[in-house]
Formats: sequence, structure tokens, C-alpha cells
Amino acid sequence: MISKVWLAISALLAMPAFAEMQALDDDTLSSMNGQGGVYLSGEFSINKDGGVLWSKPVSNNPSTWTASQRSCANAGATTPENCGMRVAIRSEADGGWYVLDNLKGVFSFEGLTLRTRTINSGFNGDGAAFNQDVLEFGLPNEVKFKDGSFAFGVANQGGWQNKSLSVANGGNPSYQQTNIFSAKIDGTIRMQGNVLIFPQN
Amino acid sequence: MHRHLLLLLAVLSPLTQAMQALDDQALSSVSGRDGISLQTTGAGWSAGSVDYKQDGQTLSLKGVSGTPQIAGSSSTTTLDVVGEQLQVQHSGSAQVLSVDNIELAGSSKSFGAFRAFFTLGASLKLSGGGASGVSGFSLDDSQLSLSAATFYYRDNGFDLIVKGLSFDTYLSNAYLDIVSGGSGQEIKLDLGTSRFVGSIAGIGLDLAHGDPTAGVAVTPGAPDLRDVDAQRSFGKLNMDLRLGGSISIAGGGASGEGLRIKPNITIANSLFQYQDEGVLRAENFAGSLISNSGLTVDLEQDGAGSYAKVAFQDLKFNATLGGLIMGNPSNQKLGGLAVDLNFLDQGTRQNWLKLRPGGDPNSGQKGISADLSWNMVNSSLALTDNGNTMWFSGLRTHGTGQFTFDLTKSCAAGVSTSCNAGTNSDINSGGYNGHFDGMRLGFKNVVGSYSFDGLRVGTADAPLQGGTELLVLMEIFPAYDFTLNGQVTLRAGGAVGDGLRYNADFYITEANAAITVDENGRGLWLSGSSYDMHYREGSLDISTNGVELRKGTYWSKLDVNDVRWGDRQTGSSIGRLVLKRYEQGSTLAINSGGAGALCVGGSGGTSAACVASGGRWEDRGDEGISVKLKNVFVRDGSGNPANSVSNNEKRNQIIIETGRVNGVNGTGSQLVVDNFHTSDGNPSNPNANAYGFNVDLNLDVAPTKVCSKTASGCTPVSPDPLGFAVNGRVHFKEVNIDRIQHVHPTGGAVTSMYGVKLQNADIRANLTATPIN
Repeated sequence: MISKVWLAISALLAMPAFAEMQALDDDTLSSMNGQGGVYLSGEFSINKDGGVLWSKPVSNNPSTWTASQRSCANAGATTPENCGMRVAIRSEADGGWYVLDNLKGVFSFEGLTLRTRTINSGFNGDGAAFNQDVLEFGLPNEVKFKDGSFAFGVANQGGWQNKSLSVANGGNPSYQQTNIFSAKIDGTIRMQGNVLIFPQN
Repeated sequence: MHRHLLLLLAVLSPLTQAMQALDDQALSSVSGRDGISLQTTGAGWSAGSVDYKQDGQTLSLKGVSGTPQIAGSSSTTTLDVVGEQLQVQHSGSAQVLSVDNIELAGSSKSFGAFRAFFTLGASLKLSGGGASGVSGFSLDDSQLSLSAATFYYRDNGFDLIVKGLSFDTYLSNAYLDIVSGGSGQEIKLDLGTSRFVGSIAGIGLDLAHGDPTAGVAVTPGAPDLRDVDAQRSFGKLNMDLRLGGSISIAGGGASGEGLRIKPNITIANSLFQYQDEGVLRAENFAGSLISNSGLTVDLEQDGAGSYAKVAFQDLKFNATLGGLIMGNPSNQKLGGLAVDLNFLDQGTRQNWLKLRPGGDPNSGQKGISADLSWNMVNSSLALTDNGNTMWFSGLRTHGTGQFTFDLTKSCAAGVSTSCNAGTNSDINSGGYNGHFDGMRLGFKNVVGSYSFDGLRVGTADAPLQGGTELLVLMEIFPAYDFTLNGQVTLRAGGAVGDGLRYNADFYITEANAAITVDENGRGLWLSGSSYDMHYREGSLDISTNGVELRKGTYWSKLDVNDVRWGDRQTGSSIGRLVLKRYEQGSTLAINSGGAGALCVGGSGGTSAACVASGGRWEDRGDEGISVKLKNVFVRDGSGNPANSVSNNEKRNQIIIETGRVNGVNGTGSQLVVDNFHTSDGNPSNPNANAYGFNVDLNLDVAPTKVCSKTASGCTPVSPDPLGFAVNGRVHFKEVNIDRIQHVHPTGGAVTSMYGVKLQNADIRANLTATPIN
């Protein structure tokens, strides 16, 4: 089952694929009616109600948390906040870890389309020479970002631990993490046209 | 014709035996002065061989006998004429029918042995005048019953036991007629508005070889309890069918002699139920089963020996299940489900089943083999959820292959009679080729394919749309062709109570699976794939929570030779993909009820809170399907050898390879995601690994907001169009990747990342697929 998740991710990100933006003309749009393909509406979210490893504590003071609690509000904030997903990568055998922490947000859209398309004409004459199948992601007009955030930092181990708790209580006083910067994203982005994905040898 | 009638009797014998003991009241009502009353008592009968011969082939029942279960017991039959009816009342004594061997002449193998314990009863009311008003009989108000029945099927000394079976037939407005069919005279049974009520209290296996006392066959009252699972059951079945229409039977098979059965049956207001801890129940089950050319039954011979062939040129089955319940009957319903299946011969794609004696070559002389060929055209499945219907339209499948059925035993617990250790006796390796304990279904060179045209939502003629892509997470591909070998062996009793446990090995080769595909077969394909899957000690139960599949210990290797764009064979490839998985304790749960009400584009548990946060509140009703997949990936403890890629069988690994020389695997550059595994992320117990990598899916048919793409901004299409709504959630506490390697064909493997750790993820994708507007 997971294969397809990885496959989808790899197809989108990791492959030697080319992506190209193209505006739709009326002819193209009208020819899309009644064909296969799919029109997707909805949302994609990461930790919009927190994650499954750490629950939100009552207080933002780390020394009051239990082993399975973590708040990702800024230090000194009065109210705690749910935590996002955390990704840590170690690039040396005995080195420290790069951390992308508190990654969360809601991305909602109406009208992401997906279909297969053969391009063998158009594109100012380049289409005929191209003559190949592409996966076409028709971009939604608007994508709304809500409560998006992430933080980039470095840490001395991959997994987060509460340095304010003793080892006996599930913490680790020697744990260190330094956030280099963090970001918050809210708003609307206009995305028009298509992303075409195809293999290139 | 006599032969045909003999076979007809043999084929219909379960029906004609479907009789019921008469109660005193019923008997008293028929005790006329002019009737005949027969009381029969005897030691029974036996025959060395009962043969059916057709076109030079012989089907033999060897060592056949019928004896009363209690010596000296008697059956009572009364015949009476009341009005213009002949009334026959039969109250049978408990009988045993035994067949030592079912054989096809010329074969040293056999189908196995068969014994049945049963009691028959009948109340027949016959009068002249069939449906055509001239010839034939009316059977109106007749009853047949089979009660207290137990069947034993014995294969290589092991038994499959069907316990507590009863079957009652109530014929209403039924007629038996001789009519002129397309190929001569036919016997036609017009079912009128008849009712068939059946139940099975349990189906079990007895894997203790032979009988407890040699030569003394066990009985339902004195069962063989030597096998630890002797008392366990696959579950209970109940059905209450109300059938109409007719069944016609004619002489002459597909060629020469034989038999032709033409069903034209309607099903109305029926019920079917499977019961484990929970139930799987189809209420208000209606439909039809029609074959215009009929099902033919022939005995034939080819280079591989004699076989019995059942074939049909056309068969149409459609059914609507008005209410489908999965789990707890008081819970939400799944909604309605409808199937419309059309089998049709098209050239070399035909529909037939060739039954041959003897099963798997390694399972002795007995068992059943079947060569199967199927071709289903333009069929559909429809799901109705809170009144909204969605069709999986244009479903086609065809294929051929050999299936075997045996009762088998492994030698893992010590060598015993008829066990099979195989040449590779390591039961926990992928190369194990011995047997497992249980009822074994083997697959040999099953070459098949299926495809969907797409989804139609709302009405059966709505435009085709995509959306089957959203099911790929469950490994349901929009199109798939494959060659399957392997086996699945089932044991009675699930993880809890009834149900089943299984061990399985599947080897899929030469497979092409579509991730997404359009109506012209162009899409994103996993081409030239092989997929080896191994399951040990898995189970399947219907609990009050729904269907629960436990995968036990599972490991697999998916090797996709080419991920192609466009055509499955000739599209451009982006390279090779290998996925190896090693899991323990993974589960798949399916239950009824979809996503319910939820917030899209915002957050909040109520409509007001959702709208206030900028979201849109969507209520998808109380019906639908929910699927929970939990994958517990286990770390391979064999180590991470430096400068090489581990090829251990049980390991979680992803390999992407590009730039191969002449398409030869291993000659290109590889990216290896090595030894990934899940963890509970518990600092005080780092080895805890129970939460796993979870995918939860809620499937609904529901309306959603759709923007017209021709307008600027978002101009909503009104009213909200119906779509296939998939609410997906991926969540895990921790996923670790031991390392990421890069492999160059000459430079070897180097490690680029010495660890990746992902924590605290709850990723949701709430998507509704509608046609492109």
C-alpha cells in the first residue's frame, strides 16, 4: 500500500521529470468535457489538529509536560500550541541532525485536475516534435494556505526529547536543538495553467 | 435420454433430497380413507460402482451405499388423492449416503470421498396441467426439506466438514413442464414464487489423518476431536431466497451427449448472511440470473486426461443489495450495493471450467483441479450511499489458469501421514514449497487482466470520470494484467472465534498495473512488474467492528521494471522501482459508515466553528465505507553493511534505478532508501513498534463545491455536483530510515544520509473527484 504513496511522491518530486506551465485555451478547455481524468476538490493538510506522537499540554512550560506531551508555541508564549510533523536528517555517520520541525498547515483548493494527455501539436510547433504522453495536473485557480508553519534547525539527535524532564520521566537534559529560522504562512495563492510531467531520458 | 435423466437426478439430488420431516398435524390432515401408506424399513443398499457414461467418457462413483443412521428405523410415505391432486407425504428416517471414491475412468487420481448424514421430508401436491396448460404437473404448495445434515468431504485422509445444514424448499405456483426449447424438448421448472431457506451451522476441518479407530468412520454424534482445531469453524451461513422465473434442462451438451441447463431466475426480497462474531448481511437482496444459451455439462478428454466441463456462452447476473451490513447489525449500514456482471464468449476468450480428479501434484492422489477460463464484458459495480449512487463502470476481466483444491498438512510439527515438507522446508522463507495445515487453494499460471472504464456518479449515463486512482492506496488499480502463481491455505477459526486463518504465497509476474489510465489505455503504468508476497499466520474475521484482516508476518518484493508514461508497453520509462516490505502485526479493517460530517479547508468539529475558521462544512451522511490500513514495518536486524546494498529478503527497502544499460537491472545508477521501519517513538521503550504507519480512508458518494474552470476566480457550478469523496489520513508516530545510499555501477554504494527520522505525522487529504467541468 505504501508503495503507491512513495511512488506518487517520487513521481512528483524525485524523478528526472520536466515540469512546464501552460495556459489553457478555450479549445483545450472545451475538449476536456466528458473525458476521463479527474477533477479534485478539497484539502491537503499536515497536522491541522496536531500529531499522533505528542499531545498538546495544558501549559507552555516544558517542565510541566508529560513524556508524550509537547507544545510548539514560541518559548514564553502564554498558551500552548499543537505541534506539526518533524523530519530530521543526519548527513554524517556520527554527526548532528538537520531538523525541519513543526511542519503543518492546511492547503485547500477547488479544481485540481489530473489526466493523461498526448501532446503532438501546438506549443508553437514544438508539440509535433515532442509527440509524447504527459501527466497533466491542471492547477486550481486558487490555493488557500491556512495556519502553515515550519521551523528549520539543528539538533544533536534525530528524535525530539524534552530537555526539561529527567531521563526517568521520558526526557533528556542533554538534548539540544537550535532553531535557525521559522516561518508562518497564511493566505491565498493564484495558480493557473497546467503542470505537465513526463520522463526524459 | 435416459442417461441424461440419470445425470439430471444425480445433479439435482441435493434438491430432491431437500425434504423435511412432517409433523403430526400435517400427517393427520392427509390421512384419507383411500390413500396408501408405506412404511419402509431395511438395512439400506449398496453398489460397487455407479457409472455415468457420455461420449465415451465415464464418471464413476465407487463404493456407493445408503444406510439408515439407526438400524431398524423406518421411513413413512403416504399417497393420497385429494380433489384433483395427488398428495405424497414422505417422512424419512435419518440416512447416511457414502461414496468411497469419485473417479473419471482412465485417471489414476480421484476427486476424493464423500459422506452425507441427512433426514429427508416432503409434502408434494401434484396435479395435471403445467404452465402451458396441456402437459406437465403443477407442484403448487409442495414442500421439500433436508434437515440435520452433515457432509464430509475427504481428501488424502483429511476431512472438510459442513455441519448442521438444513435446506427447505417451499414451492408456490410452481410447474414442471415439457416444452420445446431451442435444441429440442426441455424439462422446464417454473418456479412461480418459491422460497428456499437454508442454513449452515459451521464449516470445519479435521486434519487428523484418517479415523480415530481405523476402519470406523466418524459420525456427527461421535466426531473426531484429535485435531486441535476440530471444533473451530469458518462461520455460519443463512439464506432466505425468494426465487421466480424458471430453470430449463435439456439433453445434449456443448458437443454430443451431455446436459444443458438454462437458468432464467429472478431473485426478490431475499436475505443472505454470514456470521462470525459480527455479521456480513445483505438485506433486501434482489436480482436475476439468466443464461440464454444455457450452462452445458459434458465429459471430455484431452492430452491431460478426462475432465468434466461446465461451460456457458453467456451468463448475466445482476443483483442489488438494498442494505448491506458489515459488523454490528445495529450499526450504520454500508448503503446499497449493486452488481451487474455479464459473462460472454468472445472468440478465444471463453467461459468454462474443466474439473479434473487430483489436486496439487504434491498432495497425493486425491483432490480437485480446475482449468478455468473466464471473460466478463462491460459489467459494473454500483455503490449507493445516502441515496447517491456511483458506478464503477465498464468493468472487464478475462483470463485462464489452473486452480487446485486440496486438504493438506505441513510437516512443521513433525512428520505425519500425508504431510508435505517440500524440498525447501524452511516455512519462514519465501522459497518454502511444502504445504501448510488446512484447505489449500493453489494457483498455477493464472493469466488474467481487469480494467475499469472509470466512474460515473449520480446517474448510470453520467460522463465518465477518473477517481479510481484514489483506490490505489488499497492496491486496487484502475487496470491490471498479471500472471499469478502460488497458494493460500485456510484453517477454520479466526483470531477470535469463528473466521479463518491463512498462510499464503503469491508470485505475480509479467504484471502491468495502472496508477492512472484514461479511456484509451494511456496513463501512468507500473510495467513489467513482479510481485512476490508472503503471509504467515494471518487471519480474517468479521467482528462487530467490521472486516478485520490481520496480515500476520508479511514480507514482499515489488519489482517494477519500468514506470512508464503513456502506453503500458511502449511508453517512455523513468526507470526501475523496487519496493521490499517486511511487516509484523499489520492489519486491514473495513467497516461501514463513511466520513460523516467534516470540515474542508478549515478546522472545527461543528458547522459554525468550521465556517468561522474559513472552512466549508460537508455532511456526507451516515452511510459509506471506511478502510483502515495499518502497516507495522519491522527493522531488519541483520545490519547495514557499509559500501553494499543489503539484499536480505525480509527488509524494508526502496530502490530507484535509472540509466540501465540495455535495460539490464543493476547496470544503472541506484538510489536506495534502506531499512526503513516504524516505531512508537517512546523514549523509555525504543523498541516499541505497535502503532505503525496508518492509512485511514473514508469513501463516500457526496456533493461538493466545484469551480467552473472557464470563469475567472471561482464561479461555483450549481448545484454542487456529486463526486467520489475520499477522505484520507496518513498518520504515524515515528518512521526511521537507517540510511540512504547511492549506487554507481562501477563506483559501488556510498551512503549519503546516515539516518532520517520522521515524527508526529497526521497528514490528511480530503478530496472529492468529479468529472472535469
